[in-house]
Order: sequence, then C-alpha cells, then structure tokens
Amino acid sequence: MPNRKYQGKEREGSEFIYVDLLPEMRRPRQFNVNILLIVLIAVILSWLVIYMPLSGRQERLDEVLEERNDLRNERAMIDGIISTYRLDADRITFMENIERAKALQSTYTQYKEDMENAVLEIDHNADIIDFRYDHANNEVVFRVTMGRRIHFPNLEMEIYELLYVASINYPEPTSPEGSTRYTTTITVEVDPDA
Amino acid sequence: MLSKRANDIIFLVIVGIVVIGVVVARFMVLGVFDDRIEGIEEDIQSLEREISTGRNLIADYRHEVLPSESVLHRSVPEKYASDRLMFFLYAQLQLEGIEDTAERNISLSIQENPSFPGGTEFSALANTFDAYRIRIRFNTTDVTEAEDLVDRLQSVDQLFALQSVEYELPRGDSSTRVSLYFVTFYNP
Repeated sequence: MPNRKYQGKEREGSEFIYVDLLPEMRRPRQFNVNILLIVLIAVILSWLVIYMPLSGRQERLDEVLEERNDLRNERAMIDGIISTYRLDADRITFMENIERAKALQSTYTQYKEDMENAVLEIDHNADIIDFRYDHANNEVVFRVTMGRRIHFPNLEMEIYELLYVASINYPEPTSPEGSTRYTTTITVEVDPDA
Repeated sequence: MLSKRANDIIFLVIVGIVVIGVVVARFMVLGVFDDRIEGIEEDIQSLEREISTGRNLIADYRHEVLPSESVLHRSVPEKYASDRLMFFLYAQLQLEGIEDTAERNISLSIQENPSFPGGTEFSALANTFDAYRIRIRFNTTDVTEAEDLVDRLQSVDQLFALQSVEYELPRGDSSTRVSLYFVTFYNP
C-alpha cells in the first residue's frame, strides 16, 4: 500500500503534491547497544564484587569444615580413651571442687602461735589482749600491750620475717594515764598461698 | 520515540539499579558465608576446649582410682537438714568437753546462703556449692578450747572451713566469750 500521507504547500497558485508510492513497511527496531552495556556491567561487577571475595570465603569455609571434622574425630577418640579408663568428668569436677574447699581449712592455729611467739620474742612481759582471725579477708588482728614504745617497730620487723605476712599496720601506740605500758592494735595481712 | 537525553537517563538509572542490586547481593551472599564460617569457628573453639579438658583429664587421672560418689558426699553432703547439722555440731562441742551449761552459754546458729567478700575463694565456692555459715559462741576460761574445736571440725569427714574466730584473752580465772564462724558446703 502506498503511503497516503499528503504533504502540500501552496506556492503562487500552484500546489505541490507529494505522494509516497512505496509500500508502507515496518522498519526493524534499532538494536539498543545500551542493553549490552548493562549486561556487561552487571557481569563484570558481579565478578569483582561477588565472585572474587566469595571464592576466598569458599576456601576458608572448606578449611574450617575440614578442621572441624578433624577435631570431631579427635574428640571421639579422646571420649573413647576416657570411657576406657572409666573417668567420670562430673565426679572429677566434684572432687576438684572439694579439694578447693578443703584448701580453705585454715592454718589459724599456726598464725596464732607465730604471732604469740613474735610478741614474746620482743617483750617477755607483753600481753595480748584480744585476737581475731578473718580467713575471708586474710587478716589477723590483735591488741597487744608492751613495756616500751620501741618494741612495736621491732615487733613489726619480727612479724615481717614470717613468710606468709603480706603487710602490717598499726596506729601509734598509746599509754593510758598512770600506766607505763603502751597498747596498740596490730593488723597483719596474710597470704595463705605464700 | 524517546529523546536521546531521556534514553541516557533511563540507561543510567538501570545501571544504577544493577550496581545497587549487585552490591546488595554481595552483602547477602557473603553475609551468609561469613555467618556459617563464624559458627564453625565457634564449634572449633568449643571442640578445642573439650579436647584440651579431656587430655588433661586423661593425663591427670588415668592412673588414679577415683573415690566413689558416696565417699565424696561425706565431705560435701547432698541433702541439707538443719536439725541434723545442729545435732552434729552439739556432739562435736560435747566431745571437746564444751557442755551446754549456763556458764558456757553456748549459742549455735546456721545462716543459709551467706554473703562473702567478693573475689574470695569463699564466694567462688558459694557459687559452686550451697554454702551455710555456722556461728558458734561459748564462754571459756581457756581459749585453746577454741583451737581444739577448730582442729576437730576441720578433721571430720564433712568439710568445715573456719571463716573467722574472735575472742579476748581471759584474765586470771575469769571467762571470755569466743565467737567462731565456720562455713560448710552441700552439693546442690
């Protein structure tokens, strides 16, 4: 079918008529190169952003899977040995906790004897007024009366010679009115693990 | 027919969507992988700990004959009964010659779930076992009775640990009051 489109323009009384006699044909759609570009970008980007790091992850995943498998086999072997020796892990833990608790049983008597000996070593006439031992805070506290003020620094040195003594503190000894003797409260921090 | 400018804009928009899609896909895919690797690494750490514990167990105890449960429960019994514990403690006092008389003025009490100074072995064990604090107070003219009682309670089958002791030294024939605090444990 010819193209029936009419185009005309009147020029000086005459009229120019254009008739397209060629049959009307649908032109093939122009190939859009942009689609190719988009596909190319998607492929390259996927390669760089997904595939390359993913291949590294895949290697790491293979490694950890292999390692876990080896460790599972090793654990199964150890479980087998434990069952061969009839070792009950719960009972052993219970036993170890009891041992820890037994370690709390104090050497209070030894501390008391050592403190008494140290006091009497410095002053034969010294008098321990009271005594307190606190195992939870690792502290021995006692009030002592001695004849001379100089005895107290000497007593401090004497007590420091005990291996388990961590520190000693005492306030300035005081002498009650009318008395020639001095009294103070000595706090000894002990280290039971020493 | 779209203009060239409109065509370019559509192209850029599609490129943008593709880039965003690829980036989102990257985070999703790698996220799945990372989560899986992380989970397996945690499994590995746990297995390594179990293996190490097992090896130590074998190295330490393979040649030892473990005490039976009943023997272990003599030190840390399973069932707490206050009247039974009280009876036991009064018996120990009597065995030390500390009779329940008016002069002695014995006072005995048990505190359940006592608190201990933080960071100490007492507080650590109180989290493992059920702890009970026992307070024993009595009058005496001889403080070595307190020492003997400590030695006695620390040598019986059931585990008693001295937490603190406090007294004034008696003057002459006068008596003094001794306060002793013990801790005993029960298996929860």
